[in-house]
Amino acid sequence: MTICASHFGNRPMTWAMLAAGMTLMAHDAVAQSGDTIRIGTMFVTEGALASLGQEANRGLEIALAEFDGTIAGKKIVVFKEGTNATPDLAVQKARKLIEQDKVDVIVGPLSGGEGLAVKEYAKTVPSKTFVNGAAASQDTTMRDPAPNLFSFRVDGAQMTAGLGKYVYDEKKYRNVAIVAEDYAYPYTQVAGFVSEFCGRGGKIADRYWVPLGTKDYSSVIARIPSDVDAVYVVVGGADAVNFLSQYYQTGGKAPLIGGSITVDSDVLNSKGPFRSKIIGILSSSNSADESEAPEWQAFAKTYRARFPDGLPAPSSLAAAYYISMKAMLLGLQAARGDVSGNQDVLKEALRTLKFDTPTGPISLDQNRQAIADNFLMEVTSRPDGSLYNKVVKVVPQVNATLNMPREPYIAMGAPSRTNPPCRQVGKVL
Amino acid sequence: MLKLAVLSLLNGISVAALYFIVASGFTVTFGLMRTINLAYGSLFLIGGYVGYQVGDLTRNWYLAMIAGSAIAGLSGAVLQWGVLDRLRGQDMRQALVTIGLSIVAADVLLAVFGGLTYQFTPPDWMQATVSLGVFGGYPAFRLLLIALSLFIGVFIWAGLTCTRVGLAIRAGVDDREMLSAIGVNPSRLFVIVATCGSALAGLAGVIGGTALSISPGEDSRYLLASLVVTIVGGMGSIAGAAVGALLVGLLEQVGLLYFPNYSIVAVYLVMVGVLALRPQGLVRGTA
Amino acid sequence: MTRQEQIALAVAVLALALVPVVADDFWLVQIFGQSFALGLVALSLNFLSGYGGFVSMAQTTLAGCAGYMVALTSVNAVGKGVPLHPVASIGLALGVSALAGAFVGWISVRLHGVYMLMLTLALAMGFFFFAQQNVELFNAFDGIRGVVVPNVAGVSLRSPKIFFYMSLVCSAAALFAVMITGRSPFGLVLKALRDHPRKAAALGFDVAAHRIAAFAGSGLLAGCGGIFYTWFNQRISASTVGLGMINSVLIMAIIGGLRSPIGAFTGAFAYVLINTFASGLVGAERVNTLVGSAFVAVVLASPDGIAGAAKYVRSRVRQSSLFERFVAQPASGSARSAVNE
Repeated sequence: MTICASHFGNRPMTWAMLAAGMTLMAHDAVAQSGDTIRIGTMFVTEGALASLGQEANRGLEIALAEFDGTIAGKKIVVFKEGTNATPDLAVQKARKLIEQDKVDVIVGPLSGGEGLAVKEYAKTVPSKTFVNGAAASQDTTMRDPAPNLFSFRVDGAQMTAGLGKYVYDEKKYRNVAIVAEDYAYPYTQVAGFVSEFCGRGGKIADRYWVPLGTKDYSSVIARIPSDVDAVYVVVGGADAVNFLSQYYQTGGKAPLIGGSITVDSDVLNSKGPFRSKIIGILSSSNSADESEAPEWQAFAKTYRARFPDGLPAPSSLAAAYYISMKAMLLGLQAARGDVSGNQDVLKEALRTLKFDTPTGPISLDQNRQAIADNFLMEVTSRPDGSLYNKVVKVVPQVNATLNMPREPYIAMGAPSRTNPPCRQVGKVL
Repeated sequence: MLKLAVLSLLNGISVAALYFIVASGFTVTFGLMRTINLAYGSLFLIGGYVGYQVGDLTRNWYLAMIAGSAIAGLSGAVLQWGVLDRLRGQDMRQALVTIGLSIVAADVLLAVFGGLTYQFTPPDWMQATVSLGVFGGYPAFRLLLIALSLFIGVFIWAGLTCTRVGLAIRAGVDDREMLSAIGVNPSRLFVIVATCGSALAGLAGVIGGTALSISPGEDSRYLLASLVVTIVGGMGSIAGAAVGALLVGLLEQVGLLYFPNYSIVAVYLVMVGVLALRPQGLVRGTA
Repeated sequence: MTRQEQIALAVAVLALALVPVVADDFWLVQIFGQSFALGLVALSLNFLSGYGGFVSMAQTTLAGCAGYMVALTSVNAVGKGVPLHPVASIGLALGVSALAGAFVGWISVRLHGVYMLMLTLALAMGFFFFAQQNVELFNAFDGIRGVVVPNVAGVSLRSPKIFFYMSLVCSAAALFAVMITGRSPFGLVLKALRDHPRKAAALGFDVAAHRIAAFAGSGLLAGCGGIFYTWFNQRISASTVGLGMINSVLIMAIIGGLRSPIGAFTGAFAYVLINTFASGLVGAERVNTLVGSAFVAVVLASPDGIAGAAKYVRSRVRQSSLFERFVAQPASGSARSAVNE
């Protein structure tokens, strides 16, 4: 190719690549036909969150398998794109799915920053339909939402519902310090915890924000006041492994309360001596590894049969992508596979969709945000020594404002390092 | 308050010890060959992952350490002999090739070992918490880490001062043309040094994976740390690496305490300052 | 720039100008628009390295300075900064990136080779961590999203055809400017400083001033790219100036070939194509292995990227043709590349 192209001018590769580009462009001209539904999906495949993406992929595969590849006589074609958890790439991949692969709908993305970015993009393609994958940032739907984005995934604050109240009432904690990573997701979780815990009358001793990717927390740990009743920790993945082991190595005494990523299955299945120390940590999330609910049991059974090399139980990410993909498929089914025009039938179907999931019934509120059950759990050891989160309490049907009055809750503003302050708000609890 | 200061000082020194072990291999390799091996972080990760597998199979931490160093040393030798030696004298292309290789290595390691975090289980006595009186408890492994880094430092220093290879390396750091003049085959010397340097990276992978943990992304973290330490201390200088590691470790830990948001920025500012004002590093001279 | 090159460039620009006839919006913006934006950033590296011999890892950062500036002076969804008139916004952004470029040049004025590479890398990483941690201005990890691209006469500059032509014209102009600079007195002094710094200094040229000016110019080029890239994504965040992007820009410049300015764009185009379509070739998960291997192969096979490889093949073909063998002087191509055009 290069040799032939050299007749054209001084930069043969330019021409060769242009030619290659044209060929690819011509390839796209194979337009979508009326008897298929093209579903695009995206999840993280690189970097620190890659293991979560692997679980997401497993979850959505299970949902797809339930529908046997067709809806209302139309064939389902799935396009998968991998991201590196950066918002830039998430938008580029979403655009590629819509514009190049001509997908009708998108399920994704996975992480909070990506969710906010894809929301902004969704507004620019109002006729298409987006179902959030697992992004848990509050403003994916709460402030300035995109009318064509539906989130069957609870946000980070919803995942804390019931936790602040439980530790105040049952564990009798009154004074809690917070150690959390310095970005939007932990802000949201801390906001949820603080508004409940302080609403009951609890006090926050201090909030320590550590940069994402901090590996040595020993100086932060040394700084935690010794008179606190507990420490609420929102640190994920490898960082969590490091925090937890260093906390116990340096003789940390106060009990820990975990955020939804602090002792999730990603951390519990990591390898290392820290595992023996963390039994009994209380945490909250949108799914529980060993929930007794028959829907969860069935889901877990399918998961283990289909992915023998997977985790001992499906993680909350597998559940989230399963639910999101299934919601999309149920919506498409209700719309009889109609994805033409503005997709109004599909959007209406999703808006009113209510279905029983492995984590309990889920429906949407006026901002198209999930109303779902929340789980309080304790890290427990299985007979074979592996760890899981055992359900302590189920908090039924939590909405986006943690069932507090909507207006004042939203008026508190977006969560940040200092917002919301520890005030006795939301006495309705 | 005093307790906090003492503890964070100790933390800073133990982190510095880890950085020193990682960077010592880097600085000697860099000093002699002028190769910035930007795949050095990948060697760290390879050593850590393979070491973990061996440690898990044999339930022996010492074997993990040996296996981690061996595999990283072997990889480093292959890299030097198969790739870098062919580009000798073209330091920019060497840097670029190793960037590319580090990208591939990170992806392949992710495919093979997954995205989960690994932490080594050292022998029980290393897992203990030592009481420091009024300053509370301190993990024994961290104190051991400081001792180990001192041992490695002395070992390298002795190796450079007392052995024939060490002599050749020091000569090479000062003046590469000298090497052929004193009858040393540069290719062979370079492979030996690359092997030792990479083995140190692998060793650091196991030690770092015990003191902290290993997971995807640690490769670039330790590579950048090695770069900063080497540059700040002065390339090819073991004493410089010690000074650089101490400075970076303390800055990181004290920064985390007093200005957590910008502690990492501060580390890079120091590197910029040193490069701009004193490009040869804080400690001049060799080994 | 030889006459032949001028013609080739003109033909290439004309051919590209016709692309909107056949290509859809996706190709106009995501493939070509993105390639032009990233190509401009790669060109700024190419300019520094080709003429001055400086390999700078801070070009992405310079682009990021302009990108953040334009985001902060536009209407955005996070309410940071102050919206300004588009002309002021763009002017300010370019001013900041040129100043930042001059700063990089000033601070690295004594360094060469890998030391320069490390210093610029340290600056870039420092900026990245600062942007990732600073809430007040940079909005930390999440960055500035929902950046509204200005309208001119009621048409958004982000509409596909406008964006395509705007980035094409800007790229062509930048390319032309770089080529002209190469033959200008300024460019010749730069090359002299690169090849024989002592002799050049002895002749009375102010080494420091020339270096700083070259970096400021590269900041301007990178700044153009940064503005387009921010408009393209309609957002910017710390990850835009992170190590991944820094490596990517380096890869583009190297794959395209550091010796020829146009290589920056071929490199960017190749990179964007691989990055966009590799998921269809190797599955969503192993894209990096493909990109990394391609990069290693190019660096190992040809010190001068795709352009160098092409030139090599061409010169071999000419040499072996009967005409070349008996009539013309041999090895014209490789001889020319040896004197760095």
